[in-house]
Amino acid sequence: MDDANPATITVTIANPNGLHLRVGKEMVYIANRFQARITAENLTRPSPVVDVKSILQIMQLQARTGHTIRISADGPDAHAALNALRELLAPAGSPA
Amino acid sequence: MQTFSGLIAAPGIGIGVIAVYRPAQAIPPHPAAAGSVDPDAEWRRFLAAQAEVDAELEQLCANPNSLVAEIFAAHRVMLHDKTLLDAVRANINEHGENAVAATFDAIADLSKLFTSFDDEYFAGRASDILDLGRRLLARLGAQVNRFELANLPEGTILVAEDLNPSELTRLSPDRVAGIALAKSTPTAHSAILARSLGIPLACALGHEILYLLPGGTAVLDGFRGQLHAGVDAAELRIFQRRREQFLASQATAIDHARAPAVTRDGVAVPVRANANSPKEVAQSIAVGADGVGLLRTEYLFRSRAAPPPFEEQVQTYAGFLAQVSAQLTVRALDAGGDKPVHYLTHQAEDNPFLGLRGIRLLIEEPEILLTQYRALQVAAAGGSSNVEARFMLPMVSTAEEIATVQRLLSELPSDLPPLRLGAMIEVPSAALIAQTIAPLVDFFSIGTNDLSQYALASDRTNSTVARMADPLHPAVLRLIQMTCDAGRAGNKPVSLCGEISGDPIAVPLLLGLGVTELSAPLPAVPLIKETIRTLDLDDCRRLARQALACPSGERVRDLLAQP
Repeated sequence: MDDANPATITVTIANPNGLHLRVGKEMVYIANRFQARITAENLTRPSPVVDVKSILQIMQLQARTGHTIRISADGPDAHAALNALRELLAPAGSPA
Repeated sequence: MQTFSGLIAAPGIGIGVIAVYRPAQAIPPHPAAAGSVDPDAEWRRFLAAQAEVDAELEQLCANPNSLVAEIFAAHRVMLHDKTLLDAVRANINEHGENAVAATFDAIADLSKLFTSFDDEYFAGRASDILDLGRRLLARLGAQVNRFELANLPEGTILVAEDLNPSELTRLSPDRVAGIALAKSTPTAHSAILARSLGIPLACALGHEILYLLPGGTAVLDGFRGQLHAGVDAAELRIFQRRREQFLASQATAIDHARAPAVTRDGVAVPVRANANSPKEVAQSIAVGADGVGLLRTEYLFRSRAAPPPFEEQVQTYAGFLAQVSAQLTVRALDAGGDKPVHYLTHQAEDNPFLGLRGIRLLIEEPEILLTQYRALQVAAAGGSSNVEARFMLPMVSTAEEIATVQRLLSELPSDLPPLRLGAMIEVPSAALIAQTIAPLVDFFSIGTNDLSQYALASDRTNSTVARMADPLHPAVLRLIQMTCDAGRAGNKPVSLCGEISGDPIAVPLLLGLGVTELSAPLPAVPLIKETIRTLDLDDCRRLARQALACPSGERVRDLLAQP
């Protein structure tokens, strides 16, 4: 987690298949519950900055297990959105 | 003559001319711009197509195969994805395209982007995008396949890598003499549909068949799972004779379907039907089945939030008992594994085929078991018909499981006569200890689909190894024989309800091994009955001894094919 900027987190993907279709689908469900604009970028392999509310954009991260991605949120419920996404991608207790 | 061997998927012999189906381009050519476009009307057209595709995908999500359901659930999310919708809308509003062109371009751009990815998995998702695009474009009225499946000439042997159910339903059964697939499995939807349409089909024939020259004469042998190309006149006459014999015997079979099947030496063999739905139960009398030997009840439990209540089940089973002849065998819910029921199966399993499924799940959830048993018991007691109700436990692997179920059932009120209780023999351990299980039950029912995949450690839904899961492999035949021996010693009937029971060529072998009842796919029932009428059980036993001594499943097939 990046404490310097509370509206941004970095997570290391723990899901065994990376951000494949199923996890991507879950991310979209979660992101769409929030008003905040939420974007993500893969820090491990070059990727565009993508909109987390779109599965077709999340796929463009090409994020595999062990890749680190940065997720940023901007809006009234930004913190809650990031917490929810972190819980999905790197739940407490998993190696960060 | 060049012969390709694969798997038997739908019986019959087809003679005709080869047409090779290649699903043209992945997506259709760019549609011509249709003059001036009303952007609002085009967007509404797109939204209407989107809603239709959504309903289509929702139905596909009810697929019992969880993997398939999961894929279509993801396609639904893509269908509503803002990236796709924004692109379509921009193509309509900013580029003046109609709905077809706007969708085509949006899908083509996205699939091109995905194809450029380094990562193979993510690049592969382009095929999901194209699949979704084809659905949308089909709903928008665009031409989807260059090759007109609906307009094939009469007497076509259709060769394809695979056919999906929507492609298959476009075929005209009087024009397509046979289907040869490079991939796919006998349990795929295409095979089930071909059987219901009466088109002979062989699958897993290998990719070489896609390079056969269209226009040549070929024979599709659905009884042996083979495609013969480059057939000369003499060979053709032999196949024509076999085909005529088959058609004649089928016609006789349908005429005699309702008469009992009795062997030449006077032994009556009940031939029942497998049923997956109320519709199939209702059809069982029409095909002449002596009842339903396998009623799969998963459909009752799927697509709802909680198990069906007791009263509803009583009514359902009572309705079925009134519709069948002689006997109804209800299989207890066989959930778990590849047939998840979401309110019961919570945990994802790495090896669902070896996981908490069948009787194991019922023991964990005794309410389901007891409600189902009691409902059938009440329905049977309330009916005035003389149809016997039997209750069958799926996926038994140990005798303790049956003892546990009996302990659970003993807690039910004892006001009604108990149902005849049977064990499915579909796990090798159950066949190996059939002698121990026999005294605990009233009948056995051998499920050869699962028994062969477990005995040969070959996933029957995986097309690369499915052909190893051969129900005619001598290893499987020995397990069937052990089960039959234990049944005979304990004076318990032994039914067999796998797909193989619908193959007339296998029937003499199955009876020779000691199977006393068959439960076959619905359309096969008349022919199976007619086949039994030509048999003598002593000959069948001799055949079984020879088959057990064969070194491979292939040799067993050769033996069975001998006149």
